[in-house]
Amino acid sequence: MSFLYHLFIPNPKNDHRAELLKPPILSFFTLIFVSYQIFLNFFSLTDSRVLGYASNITPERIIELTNQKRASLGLSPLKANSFLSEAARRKAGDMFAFNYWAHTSPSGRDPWSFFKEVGYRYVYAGENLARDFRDPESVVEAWMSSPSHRENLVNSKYQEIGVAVVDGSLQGVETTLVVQLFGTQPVSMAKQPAKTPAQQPATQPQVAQKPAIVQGEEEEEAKLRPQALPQLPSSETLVQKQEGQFTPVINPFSLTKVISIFLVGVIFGAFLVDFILISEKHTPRLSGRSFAQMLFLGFILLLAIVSQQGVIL
Amino acid sequence: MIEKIRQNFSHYLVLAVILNFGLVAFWYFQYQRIMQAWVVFFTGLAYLVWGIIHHYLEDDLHLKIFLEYLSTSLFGFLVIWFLLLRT
Repeated sequence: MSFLYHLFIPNPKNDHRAELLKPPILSFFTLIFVSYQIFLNFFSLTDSRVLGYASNITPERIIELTNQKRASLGLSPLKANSFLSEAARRKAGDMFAFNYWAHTSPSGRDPWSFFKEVGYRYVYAGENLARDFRDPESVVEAWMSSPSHRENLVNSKYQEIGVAVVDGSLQGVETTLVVQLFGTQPVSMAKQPAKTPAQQPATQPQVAQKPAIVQGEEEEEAKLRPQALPQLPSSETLVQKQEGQFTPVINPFSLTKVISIFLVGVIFGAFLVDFILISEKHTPRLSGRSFAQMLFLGFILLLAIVSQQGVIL
Repeated sequence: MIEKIRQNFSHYLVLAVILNFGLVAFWYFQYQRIMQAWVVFFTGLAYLVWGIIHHYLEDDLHLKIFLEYLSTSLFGFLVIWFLLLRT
């Protein structure tokens, strides 16, 4: 009890400064936190059955939410296309197999090669990527928050969509990849009013800024020819998500977040106690400003609280 | 202590601007983890520099005080950095 008193309460025996707020103890706490992170990394690698990422994202839900966003803006819904879904699954497989997180692979393979690989002809095409999200709502909201990704989601030129949600190990981290592909086939274009020559798409594919959007060659005959698809590089770690599939595990991010908030909260509380007691007693001492430390730790606490899992590209 | 805050209102105003700028930048780069890590690093560094300048102007800058600000800013940075690594 006496130990805790000296740890948290400023008094003559600890030179009117709580031990917890002194650099050696604060550094010790930092060291414990870093050690815990190293342990967590080691534990994640050795026993992935306990620690790992789990999400309840399904392609169907992503498509549904995308169409809801489009409907709210008065746009027509996108039709799910199995060729696009296959292209998306192959893109995800390629990212896991060749260990990259980008629109274009390290060997220079662009998103459009997957469209061609599955035999999907397009006049317009686009790609959005996401990883490490836990629920489909967060994925779609993240894309909607980014102007360039939003441009893909609510683009009136697109008529079809394909989504793949695949689990695997990417750059040493167990993750869930979401690949969303958009496209418009020439046959669909033919149903629309004829365009003037000036509005014709370019004859060569043009890749726009990220996220990937491309305008392809308009073809005379819009007939899909299912092909014998080349095999993906094998990867036993790949698991494609199906509707309703959910694996409950301890999430390292959530665990780290809870511990971070707790630790910062405890130290913030100690500074608050120090600020109140020293203000009341007007104790003269040589130390940092508790109020400033509280402001900084409040900033850190806020960042820890608002931190969310998931990255988009 | 509260009297000290009133006396150094401009100092705390600068600190509030630094932290608010950090918050806005962190939000702005919400899906760019590397940029967020840099934002926290520079905010922590700016806080350390603020502490040094503040105590220098108050004529009570001491190694003990410098270490106190250093350990707090390092702790804060590492907490957010590891959290970003997990996202």
